[in-house]
Amino acid sequence: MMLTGKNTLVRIDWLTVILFVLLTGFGWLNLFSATYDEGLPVSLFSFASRYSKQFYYILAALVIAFLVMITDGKVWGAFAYLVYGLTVGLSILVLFIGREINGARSWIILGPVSFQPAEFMKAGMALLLAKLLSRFDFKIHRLHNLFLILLFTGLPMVLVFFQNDTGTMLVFLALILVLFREGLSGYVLIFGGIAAALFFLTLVFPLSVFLPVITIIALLLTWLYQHNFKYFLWGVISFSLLFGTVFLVNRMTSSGWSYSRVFFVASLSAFFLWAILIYRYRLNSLYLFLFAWIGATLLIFSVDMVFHDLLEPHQQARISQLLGLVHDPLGTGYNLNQSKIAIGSGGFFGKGFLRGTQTRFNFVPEQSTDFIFSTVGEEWGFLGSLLVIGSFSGLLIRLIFLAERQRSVFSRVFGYSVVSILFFHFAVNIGMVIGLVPVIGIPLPFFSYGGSSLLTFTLLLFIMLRLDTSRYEVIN
Amino acid sequence: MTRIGWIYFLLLLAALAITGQVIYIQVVQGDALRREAEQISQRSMILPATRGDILADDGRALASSVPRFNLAIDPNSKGMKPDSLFWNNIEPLSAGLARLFGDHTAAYYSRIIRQARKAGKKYLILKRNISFEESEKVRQLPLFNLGKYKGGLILERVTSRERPYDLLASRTIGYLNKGSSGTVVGLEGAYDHELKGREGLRYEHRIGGGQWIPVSLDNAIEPVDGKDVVSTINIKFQDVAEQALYELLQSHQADHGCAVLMKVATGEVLAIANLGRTSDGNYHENFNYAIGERVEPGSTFKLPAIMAALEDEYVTLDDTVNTFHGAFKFYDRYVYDSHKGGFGVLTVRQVIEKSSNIGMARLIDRCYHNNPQHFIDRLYAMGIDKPLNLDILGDPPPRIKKPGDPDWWGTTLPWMAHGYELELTPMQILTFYNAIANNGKMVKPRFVKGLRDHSLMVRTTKTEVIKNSICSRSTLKLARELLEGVVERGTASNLRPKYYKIAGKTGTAVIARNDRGYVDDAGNKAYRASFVGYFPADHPMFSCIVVISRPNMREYYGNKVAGSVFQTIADKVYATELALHPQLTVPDVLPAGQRLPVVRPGVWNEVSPLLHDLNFKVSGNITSAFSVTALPQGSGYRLEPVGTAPAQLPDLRGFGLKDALPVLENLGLKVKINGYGFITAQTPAAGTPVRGLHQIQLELSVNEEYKATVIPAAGS
Repeated sequence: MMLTGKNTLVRIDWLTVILFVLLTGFGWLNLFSATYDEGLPVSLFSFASRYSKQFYYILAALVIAFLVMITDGKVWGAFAYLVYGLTVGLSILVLFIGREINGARSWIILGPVSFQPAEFMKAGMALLLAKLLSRFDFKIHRLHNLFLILLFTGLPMVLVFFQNDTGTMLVFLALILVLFREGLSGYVLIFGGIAAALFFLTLVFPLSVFLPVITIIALLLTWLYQHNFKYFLWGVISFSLLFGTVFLVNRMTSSGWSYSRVFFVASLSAFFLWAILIYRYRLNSLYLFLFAWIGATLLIFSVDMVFHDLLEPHQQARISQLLGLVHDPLGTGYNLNQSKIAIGSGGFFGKGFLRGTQTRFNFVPEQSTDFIFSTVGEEWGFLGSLLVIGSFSGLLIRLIFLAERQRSVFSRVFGYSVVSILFFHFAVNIGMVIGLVPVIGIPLPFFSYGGSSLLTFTLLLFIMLRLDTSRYEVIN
Repeated sequence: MTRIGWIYFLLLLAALAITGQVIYIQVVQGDALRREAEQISQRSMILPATRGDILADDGRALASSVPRFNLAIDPNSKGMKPDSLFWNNIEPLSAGLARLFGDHTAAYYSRIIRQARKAGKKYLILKRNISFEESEKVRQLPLFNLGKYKGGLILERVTSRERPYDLLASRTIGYLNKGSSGTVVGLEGAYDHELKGREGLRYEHRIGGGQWIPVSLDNAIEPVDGKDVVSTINIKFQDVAEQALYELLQSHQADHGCAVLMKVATGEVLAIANLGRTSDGNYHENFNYAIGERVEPGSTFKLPAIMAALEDEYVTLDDTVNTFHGAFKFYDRYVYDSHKGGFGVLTVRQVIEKSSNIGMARLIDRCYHNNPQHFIDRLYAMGIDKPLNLDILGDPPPRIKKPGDPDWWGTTLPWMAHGYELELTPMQILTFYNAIANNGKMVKPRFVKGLRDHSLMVRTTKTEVIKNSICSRSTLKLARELLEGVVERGTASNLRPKYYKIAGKTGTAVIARNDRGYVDDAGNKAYRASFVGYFPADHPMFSCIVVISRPNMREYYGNKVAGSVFQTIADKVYATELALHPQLTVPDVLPAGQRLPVVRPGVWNEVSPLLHDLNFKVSGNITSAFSVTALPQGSGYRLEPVGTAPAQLPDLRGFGLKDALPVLENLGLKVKINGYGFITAQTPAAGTPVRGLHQIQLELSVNEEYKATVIPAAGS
């Protein structure tokens, strides 16, 4: 059933719309400040500067929002696969005809129009996930379902990986939040979190300290969990003996193994020894700790390989920068340092609109795109930053609320997809601008310069609002 | 907790972490980051101070800082598009550069620029130190006329220290940053602190587009320009001294020489010439010999030696001494006289006039043989051992041995008597002779009259007295009598100018070869000819020393070699120094038929008062401030306006630029100038309507042809 315009207007969630307008409008003001050139004033309607271009993008976004609102909500469910296929198709196409900008081969240029298919793929992905998970009798822990999810989310990730756009690839990882909501085991998140934590900790602490600590923690946990001191004691003794043996053998044969290799061999020996003992004495409750421990140890050993062989040099540098392993405010750290100076010099009330020296004199590279939040911090101070953080948080909470009140799984999953993607962008973008996470090139929704990004987020938001307005009519 | 709860929790955690970090950056690190932000957008600029000039005694510049340019090209300038722009213009540009500078061919310029473009260079220096006029011409060349961005033109402003009189007294004026030792010589070095001024400071902040503007109108620290050093050098005398010295060195193929002219009463050094032969066989100011070369003076030291004996009243001028046949042995060494066969018995007066070495040696040895220390004390009492402590560095103190020194031999006393076994610089000898001319008052030679700040004298250097009286009145009188005698009857009798009298002493010393005796391997001796004295002998006003080292063997006597330079300088000084001549009585009114002074065209309100002040009758009814020519009429002048009407270009020929410029600029014309002197030609010509004109080209010249066309005086 086609909704009348009047009904849509009545039922539309105006709070979300207000937050959207607030963010987009405030975003444009900051973009204006970051790209306005006193010496070269450009008319708002001239298409010659970033702020005027973004002005048109905003107009286009509003048109799209309007179109979405007057279209039947069922369209999205019906055409989910098609939209997904289309966006994936474009992403494949970009690998062949794409233009490389800033190291990422992710732009399709058609005459005066250029766009990034990867951005639109986020919308396609959200629709597909909603469609997939809302299938009749869908159980998330069924193997073939997991396989399907892996396949459909893996494909876009592989594509953006080949476009050399690591940031967007990580965005898709955020969809794990949706799966969690839909029943995926919490352990996946916990183990994922622990693995990530181990990854970073390994980079910070030397192996010689880290490996024994992990082993001792595992043994201590066993003791606490089992209330059995004997296991702990025997564990420590047996591990020490094994380590000592390998150490001495290494010494005597002059093999010249490094400390970490000695430890690794000792750990593997301990693992087999303990596995046999656990199996022999049927201590089934200890399996979890055993595997968690050996998993952590293996992960730690692989970190070095992952870090040096899988990551690009600039990615390594950004991570090292974040962890304080290198201090290079004029090289790798330049961007972040300038951004921090901008935000820090803003103080509580900020320097005022168009008064930020860091912003006006272009000290912060990429300020109009990924680093736009530094303009907020400098010119609007802590109050402005709080407004942005608050608005985003409010929007996300509202979206969760909207998702939860949907009657159809499709709408709910779609809502959570929007939440996940938006949340990841918000947290990671601002996090990198203020130095909480490594520099990952993803835009701040509604703020950063760029049509593709703005249109995609508008699309996601308003499809959700459209689904919400017809939540009573759709049951699928 | 439900799954939704966990999701909310995660969201909250992220929002809190972000907020916390923002607070940390803005509050905890806030101040430090704010300072850093200010540092980035503010800078302090050093404002250079203009270095002061070194001026001659009449205020003309001897060394001056002039803005110059280094010309370079960026053959890969971003704006140089399309490629054809470069290729179409490279040949005309190269031809223009070759024509303008004339140092390389057009093909050479074309080749290096093309090579630089090919190599991707962004900077290729084409010519250093070009003048402002040249830089203006460079801007007109093809390609360069497109400017920096499109044309790749790079003109870097540099300040160059120029010496308008080139080598004139160059060693005394000094150099900036010359030599690897980094020391600056001469007055540039001595007065560096005053000359260089003080740098200023200005705070600037950044505005858009990489531009910087001053924070406020006032500079934080105003630069203070360096003071001008007004030297005592007189360009005219310096020129004469250098020229005379140069010609003599050249004609006698001497190794080096110096000449110093000093004002008796004040010790002001009017001229100081130092020339040495360089490896190319020519002569240059390569060392300040007058100040820095301490050597055995020879016969010029006989005067202080005999003055010591006179002061002690051991001798009178009429006492006699036997000089035998031109050779006399002290212990194991012979003293020789240059006169073949010897002088025989001489009076003390004759010993000095004929410059007898044996005479001096025997006299002093006779007087002080048993108490040589007394002789040395006498010399010291005359101040001859006093270091001069000149402004200019490199002035060694005199070296005069005394008994008890490790190198004091038995023969030292008689040898000192005729100017050996002691060392003095020409400047120190001159200072002593100047004291004699100055009635016994020894003054310190000085090179600087004072410091000037924008043509206002801010510090005047005073004459420093080294010793108020070097000897008794009677000894002084005898010393001057002896010096006059040297010129009247003695070794310098060739120096007897017609109009005035010179007093002085010749010296012809054998040059020691670094403790290895006085004879070289080939058995030849090298000589140092010198003449030191003052003039006019009756009322001494100027003292002068000339020292010539290693003239060729044909002629090496002090009187001939050094004396001729002395006399050339003295003649010039005497001829031009008004104070040396009695005042002429000039009639107040020009008698009939007398030529009227030529009055050059000028601005009315300057010409007219001038003529009135000079009591000329001025006619002509001119009331505007326009330019006029003054035409002689009777015993006065008639003023006529230049040019037929202000709406037409006046005839500017004969004008000085100072007069022409305000006229032309008031007419709204842009004035282009070529040459210097008086205006000899103008384009467009006189009478051209001013209306519609934008520019006028003036040719300036000092040529004789124009001077001849000045209006003849009435009655001639």
